[in-house]
Amino acid sequence: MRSPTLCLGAVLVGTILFVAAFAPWLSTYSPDAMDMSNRLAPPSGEHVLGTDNFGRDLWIRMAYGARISLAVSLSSVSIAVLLGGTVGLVSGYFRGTVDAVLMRIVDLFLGFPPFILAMALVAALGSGALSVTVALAAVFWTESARLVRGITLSEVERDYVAAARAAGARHFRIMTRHLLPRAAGPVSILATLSIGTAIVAEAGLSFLGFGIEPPTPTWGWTLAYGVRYLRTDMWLATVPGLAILWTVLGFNLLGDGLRDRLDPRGLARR
Amino acid sequence: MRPLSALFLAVVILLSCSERKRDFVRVGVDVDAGSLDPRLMRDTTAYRVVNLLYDGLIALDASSKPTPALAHRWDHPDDTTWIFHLRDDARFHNGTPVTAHDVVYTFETILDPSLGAPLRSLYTPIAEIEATDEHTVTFTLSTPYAPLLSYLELGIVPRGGEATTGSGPYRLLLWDRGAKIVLVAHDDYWGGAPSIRRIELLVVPDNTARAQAFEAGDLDLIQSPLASQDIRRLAEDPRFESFTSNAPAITYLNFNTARAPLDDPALRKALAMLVDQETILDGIYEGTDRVASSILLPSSWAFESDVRQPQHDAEAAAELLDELGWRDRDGDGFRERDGEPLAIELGTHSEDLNRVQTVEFLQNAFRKHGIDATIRISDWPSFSVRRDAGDYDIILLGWTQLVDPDRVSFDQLHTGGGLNWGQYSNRRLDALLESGRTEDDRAKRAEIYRAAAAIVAVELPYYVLSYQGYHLFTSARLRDYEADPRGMLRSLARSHLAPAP
Amino acid sequence: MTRYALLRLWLVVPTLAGVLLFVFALLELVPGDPAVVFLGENATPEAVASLREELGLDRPLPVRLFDYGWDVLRGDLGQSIFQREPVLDIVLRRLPATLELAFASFLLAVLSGVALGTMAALWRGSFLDVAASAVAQLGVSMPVFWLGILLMAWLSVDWGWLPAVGRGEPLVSALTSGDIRALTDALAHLVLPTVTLAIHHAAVISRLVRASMLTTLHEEYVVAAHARGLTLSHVTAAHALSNAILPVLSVLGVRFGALLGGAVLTESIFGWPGLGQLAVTAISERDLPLVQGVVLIFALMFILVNLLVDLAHASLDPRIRFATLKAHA
Repeated sequence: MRSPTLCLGAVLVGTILFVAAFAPWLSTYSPDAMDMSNRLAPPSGEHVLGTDNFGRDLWIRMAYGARISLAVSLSSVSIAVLLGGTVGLVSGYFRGTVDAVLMRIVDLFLGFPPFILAMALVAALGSGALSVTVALAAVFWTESARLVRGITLSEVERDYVAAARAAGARHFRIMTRHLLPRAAGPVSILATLSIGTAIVAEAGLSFLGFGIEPPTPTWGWTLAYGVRYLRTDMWLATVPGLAILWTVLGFNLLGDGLRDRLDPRGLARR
Repeated sequence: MRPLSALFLAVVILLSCSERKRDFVRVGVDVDAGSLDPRLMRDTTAYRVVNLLYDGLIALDASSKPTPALAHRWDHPDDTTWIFHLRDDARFHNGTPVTAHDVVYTFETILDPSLGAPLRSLYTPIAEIEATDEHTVTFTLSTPYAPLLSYLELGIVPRGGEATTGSGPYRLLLWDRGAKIVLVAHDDYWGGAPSIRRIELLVVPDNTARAQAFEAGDLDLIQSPLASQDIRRLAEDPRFESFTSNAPAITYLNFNTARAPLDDPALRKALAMLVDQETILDGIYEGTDRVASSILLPSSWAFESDVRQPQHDAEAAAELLDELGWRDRDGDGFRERDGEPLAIELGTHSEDLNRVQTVEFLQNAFRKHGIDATIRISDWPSFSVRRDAGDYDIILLGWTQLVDPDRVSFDQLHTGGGLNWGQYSNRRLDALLESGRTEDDRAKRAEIYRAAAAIVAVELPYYVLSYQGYHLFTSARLRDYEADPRGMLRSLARSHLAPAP
Repeated sequence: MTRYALLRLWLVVPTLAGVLLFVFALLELVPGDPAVVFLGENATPEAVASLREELGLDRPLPVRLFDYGWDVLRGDLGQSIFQREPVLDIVLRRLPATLELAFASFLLAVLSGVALGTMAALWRGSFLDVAASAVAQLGVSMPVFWLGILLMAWLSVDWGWLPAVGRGEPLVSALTSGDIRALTDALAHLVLPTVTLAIHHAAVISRLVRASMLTTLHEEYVVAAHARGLTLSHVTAAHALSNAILPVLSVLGVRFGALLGGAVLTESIFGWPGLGQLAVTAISERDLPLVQGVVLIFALMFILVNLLVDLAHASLDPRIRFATLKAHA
């Protein structure tokens, strides 16, 4: 089955991965080289995407920004999936008191408005890529916890689990060998979709002043101050905005495509 | 979907037909006032709104000169006594006359530590305040204190009355915290009933959104703080009146003189020479603020253009660094001395984007000249904790409301001063700042502060980056508004609103 | 059903207690002293110390936590440091604005999401489907503050259609007063923040409805109904949509919660005087009692909405009821 969604998603994500990987070789400019005499230059042959408010080449900054955005979103989602997956698996497998306690903790995080939780965490940890990663992971882990728990709850009743138990398999083995593979598909879809959300959320945090501090060339920060030039130098917001749009779109399409393929029952639903 | 979009369209058409006519003035502000009690005010919005609600004994004009307000005249018989004669036609919004007892009450309560007044320290030299009769107040000072008169702009509150009742041209009608403040004209105002009957102050935290709302006609008046690119754009727009002046405020680099290697004035000088003021103010501030030369404000009576900080000269700075022994010996691109790398952290707070960008620019300039500069930016509360603890190398921040040179120097640069976070200490400067407080003669005070500023310009506990500009824009329908460099809105009481076409 | 509802309601208590404890501990880690912020840039160290004492910030953490917990139990959320007013009063005054915005956005998101999703499913593969998907994908991918400021720039500044910022009369009082001007003003102010906040959620819901519809459309009884001679439009109306809505319902609670959370950014951009804007201000001032109060109200709303959704779900699907009761038996 050929899926146009999957293909388009893969192409979009692939380009961004390529740009991130080969960022230093994609331009002769350095991301930190300021040229105040050439600030806010519109896109031209010299600077394909124009320059920012310090006269730095926007294209090379966006390329390096791809590294930051991808690093932050991929690592925050990985932490979220690992943590949430474990909690969900344990919760769904053992049920009873363990489940009740763990799910109350999940509720507690869910009850927190995500932006307020993330802002408070960044404020507590100090701004920077690591803080933002932790903050986003703290927001996202509940989703995978709920998803994995749901899948585990329904699978654990099935015959093959009872059979494994009867054959003397240990809890850990049943969880990792039998239940985890069932959840892998939906979780990978959720993770793919969460990457996009994480990139957008990082931008939102930057807008509120709780993002990754300069001079790190992040998309979120560039967009956050770019909107201040919206009426005079439109491209300054448009360039990082489109970079975010491109990447998020890519991951979302990839996630949707994967869902069509791996999860026809639609478990990984947001 | 079709009925939905039809509905949306209908709403939009309906809305665009109902022309938004207003018979009042709407002002955009960046933050809500924290308190509208003049004794407890601490933010710019509070200063500006309190100025409409209350009268002080005196009022400060655009050049910070005291002019009569509730007091129609005053005497200064000796250097520790001030006598104020109150006008007899001033009434509070609740109808009661303003008397000497209300003045005594206001100052006694602000001096009471239990009120927790942020500006209390400005008034502590007042030893006693007495109502000689219904309309005469006598201040007795513990020590001669020249800046006092400038600080007597403090709004007078009624004795035992509600804290939001004043005697100013407007009274408070409604205060929707965090959203808007609505004021209506005070018809018994001693200066005459205002022509503009109603003022709404709308809180729009985002600078860009506030500028756009002004452009869209939702607001009639916006003023600093504004994003520099909006200032540039709005100033060129013929639909709006614009006003620009110097605010009594500075933006400066605070060097932590208690920390090696910044305890060396020569190193501070070298770093100061790396600061390209012109480029920062042209580029980042887009010409909205002006290049500063010392802690003295150009609008102040104490100003002296010959008092100058080191000029930008990157080559000379590099030479000086070499001379001081800071050289790159290991070829890593950064200078060292005695095995210690020249590493400096630059800090500021995230709320002010211009400051964030300035720090980013400085980091770049410092690194280019072999200084391993890093950046630390956090929101104001986290920033102020580190600042107060002296946990910083160099920070970029500002001082506002500098109505007297004492206000930018005594607490900040005197040994052990409450705001002297960088623990700067210079006995000669201490002596000057002390005599500046007690000397009454303005010409002599000017000399004293020039000498003090000259020390600061050489020793550089502060490097003043800019004199902050003040920018105000009004819509065409607001007539006869006279801008005040501190952003005070008092002139609204004397302005008019053009009739709707 | 009643027993199930009571059980679920009872579970709210430990969750809220946990939220309280959590927010208290988290704010303890955040550097910044409300006393310093409150007193402003000219504050002297003595003034800070005396204010800290007055606010009780100098007491040890367990004492403060215990006192706070005890006060909350008695319905007292404390006093805002900056506004010098009971937190509960402030929060309740801001609540209607946020609810108005959230309900309007929710309504818009659900209506347009369901409409778009249904149409996309019915005409699967058509231009309409592709266009709807594209719009949905863009809606999900676009940072909300960029969208908000763009909409403001076009609709308010350039075209002058809508007010850029602020809120008119409360919609409910404008509706009941019958004052047309107040009503149009209230609606005009509501449009931009509502659209900005709703787009993302409309997109998510439309994709969900589309997927759900496609599944039900293929199920047998729809085929059977079709075989009985009903036209396609009848089928969709009678069977497919009502069955497709069940899985949608289960995410609506999460959606509404996310919508409330998303109000933080939207309110800040449009100067909408709601809880989201209040939360940002409270955090940036370190007004701890106020942050706690806001988070508590948000959590309470989130939990109640999910409770309602679960109850609705349970009344539709008895299996859920029994499973929960069994788990807690």
